[in-house]
Amino acid sequence: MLAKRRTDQLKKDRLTMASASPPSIVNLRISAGLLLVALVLSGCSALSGSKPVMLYMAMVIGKDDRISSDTQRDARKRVDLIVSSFQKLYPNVQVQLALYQRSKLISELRRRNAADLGPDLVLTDAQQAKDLLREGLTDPLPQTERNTVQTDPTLMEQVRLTDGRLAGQPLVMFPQIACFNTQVIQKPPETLNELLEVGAAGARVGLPVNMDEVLWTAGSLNALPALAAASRNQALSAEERDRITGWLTWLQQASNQRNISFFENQGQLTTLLGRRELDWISCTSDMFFRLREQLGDDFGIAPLPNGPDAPAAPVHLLRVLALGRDSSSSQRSMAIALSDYVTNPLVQRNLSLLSMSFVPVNPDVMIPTKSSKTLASLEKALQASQVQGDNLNAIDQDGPLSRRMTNLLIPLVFGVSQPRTSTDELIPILGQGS
Amino acid sequence: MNQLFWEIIGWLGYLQRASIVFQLLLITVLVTLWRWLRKHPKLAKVPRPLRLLIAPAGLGLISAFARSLGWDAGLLTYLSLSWLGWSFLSLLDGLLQQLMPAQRVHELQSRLIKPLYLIKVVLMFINRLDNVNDLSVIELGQVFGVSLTLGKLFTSLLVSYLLLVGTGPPAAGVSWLMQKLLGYSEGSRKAVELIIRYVVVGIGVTAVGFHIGLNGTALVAIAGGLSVGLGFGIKEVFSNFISGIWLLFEGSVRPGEVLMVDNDPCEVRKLGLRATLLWRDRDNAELLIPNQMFFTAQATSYTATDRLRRSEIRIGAAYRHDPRQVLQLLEETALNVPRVLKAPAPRALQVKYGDSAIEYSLRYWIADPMSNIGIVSEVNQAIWTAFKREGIEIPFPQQVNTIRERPSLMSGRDAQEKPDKTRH
Repeated sequence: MLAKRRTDQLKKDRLTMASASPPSIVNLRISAGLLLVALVLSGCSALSGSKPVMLYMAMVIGKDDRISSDTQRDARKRVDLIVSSFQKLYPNVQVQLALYQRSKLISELRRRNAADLGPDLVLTDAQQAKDLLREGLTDPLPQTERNTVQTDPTLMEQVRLTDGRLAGQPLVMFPQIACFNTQVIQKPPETLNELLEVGAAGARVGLPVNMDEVLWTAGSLNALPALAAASRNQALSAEERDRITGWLTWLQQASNQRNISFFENQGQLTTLLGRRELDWISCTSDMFFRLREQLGDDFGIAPLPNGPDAPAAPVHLLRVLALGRDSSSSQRSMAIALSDYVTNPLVQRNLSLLSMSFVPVNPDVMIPTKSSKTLASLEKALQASQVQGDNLNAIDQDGPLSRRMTNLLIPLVFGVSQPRTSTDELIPILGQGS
Repeated sequence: MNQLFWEIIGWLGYLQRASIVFQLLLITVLVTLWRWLRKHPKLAKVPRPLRLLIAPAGLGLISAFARSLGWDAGLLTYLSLSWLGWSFLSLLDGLLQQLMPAQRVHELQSRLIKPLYLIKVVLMFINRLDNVNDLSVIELGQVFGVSLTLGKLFTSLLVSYLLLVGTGPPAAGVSWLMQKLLGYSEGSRKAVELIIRYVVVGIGVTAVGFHIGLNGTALVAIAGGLSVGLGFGIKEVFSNFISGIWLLFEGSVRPGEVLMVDNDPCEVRKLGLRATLLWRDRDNAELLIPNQMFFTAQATSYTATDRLRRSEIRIGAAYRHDPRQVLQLLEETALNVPRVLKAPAPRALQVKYGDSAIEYSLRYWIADPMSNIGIVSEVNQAIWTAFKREGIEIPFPQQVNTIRERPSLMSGRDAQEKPDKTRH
């Protein structure tokens, strides 16, 4: 009887427990939720003095370069140079970097912005920064007195849209330059003829087939004014046409040389030089970090070779910091503070000296050429481009026209098409850009 | 590894954005509300396809409304679209079931389609927080001197999973085609299917090794490690795996074969990497037996050379019946049972003079060894009917006890002196 009563009691208890379990789980969840909220709130109040700010930065790696562990390490080092000094002023700021291939940045930002998870800062080149602003993927940079004073006005114009909005803050300039392996090439070629001689002597030379990356040779061969005139839709004289044909003929003849090869882009060239599979290439100075790491003391740089009548026309890469669209107010104010900070003369000078890979955008900063051969070479490259500046600006270097011109150059360097016919096809394409 | 950890922690920074926090809260509230609402009896009456679409469509409408008000609702839209996709996958069940069996559809959905969809949705979400391509090159460490990145690890795991799970249907297709061309048996078809799967998985795993960047030296190192492992922990696993492959080639334990396990006929359903799955008709049980058991122990098969089974029934008939008549009747009866084979012909034998009956044995052949018990029942019924019709008695044991004299009551001493004679 006693046993039966105990069993009944047990059953009753079990029933009570069973009926009570769902609400107790709900209560448990509510309690856990409240605890979490309390923790978050207490954490926030504790940090209110220096509220942490996370800045998301989308950064474009070298043109059409593939994202790899090397490029990632290289990019992080460069950004760390800026961020670590900025954190001395704002220790509560953290920057999270996401690397993108240039060709994919716009589509990826479109997706991120659609989910309201867009970056706070976009680090890319001037041309793409303008495209992003036009598409509404970034916000215009507020024009302050500081960025007007601290930035070269000609560079500011490169990031200004026709309606006056600023696409971003010019950050640094990476000149186009010659990179080589000093173990193979002791004295870098100063002229195009010397470049051919270096190739004939056994050094492996790599040139890009991308129009904007190989355009420097047009400067050396004095074809750039003719190309610029064609871009402005001006009628070309026979001599000007011959200049363009002469440039294309040189490219084809260079390609016929045993040791001179054309590759898709400078990203590929850099990879091959880093692996010591090439000895001389044209590159932009943003690749210096990686090449220095791979080649060590064998890494050498020099201005691009000039021609008999004209200097080379290197196309520089202007890095711009654009503002994202989805930032909170604290993220936005920190993003603007960072973009102001990077043009500070002291910062620009220090960064330039530390990285030894770019030219400052602040006109007040003198490049210490005497203290560094690298910076002297960069300065020389910059001066060369300033000579050809107007002509370079006239030619489309990034849009669909540039891609069409590249498609024209590919059969030419592989001997499928002839320089004369390529000239006839190139001129109308250039004219469409005006 | 550290870098990956900080990248993930860094995503919490999105909570600084009021619009994100608002959307997350809204999503939490809406999901909780839906969990509460879906238990409502009225909703149970709504057809399932429509019920599946209510929540994601509602979320989509709310996000569209929020957008029309100029609010940020990107996250909400993303979630509603992903949810909608998930619901459509559930709706796909019905369509697929028209093409293949429900079990196959369930396997396809739970092992392939839904996991892949989830991975895709998660990757797309991460791609909105960060760049997946960038994350994929994060180095996790060194494996045999080769740097292992997150992307390599992920693709290796994914490819390995797909190889294990996704190679089934193509392998089945190829083996079916080969069966049609070469005309081999159903058991061989299943064996060929398994062998193709093993080969593809083997090649795939090697390819994954090369994708990670493992070189010959690394593979030798792995083999060395495995040999130590084989000696200790995974000896049984490896032994079962090798036994399985051996049995497949030998053909004795292929899917469809009938083996005797504990005196019960069992059909081999699946020869797995570790164990063989057998089906026992008696109680519809599925037995998982390690492959090495078949490799090392004796096994009785009814399907090694053919699928015939000889069955036997023993029966007694009264002494007064002529054995020749009984034998003839038994053979004729067996022949009239549909599932008893005509050739080899049934054979009745007179086996014993028993205590109460002459014992006969009826031996006959059947085509399906798994149906033995059912056919025995049919033959027994037919014999009973035939014996009744012919007036043949099936006697039950009878014993007549006769008490010759009543034992007298004696003292214990007398009893010792005069033992009971009846006991002799």
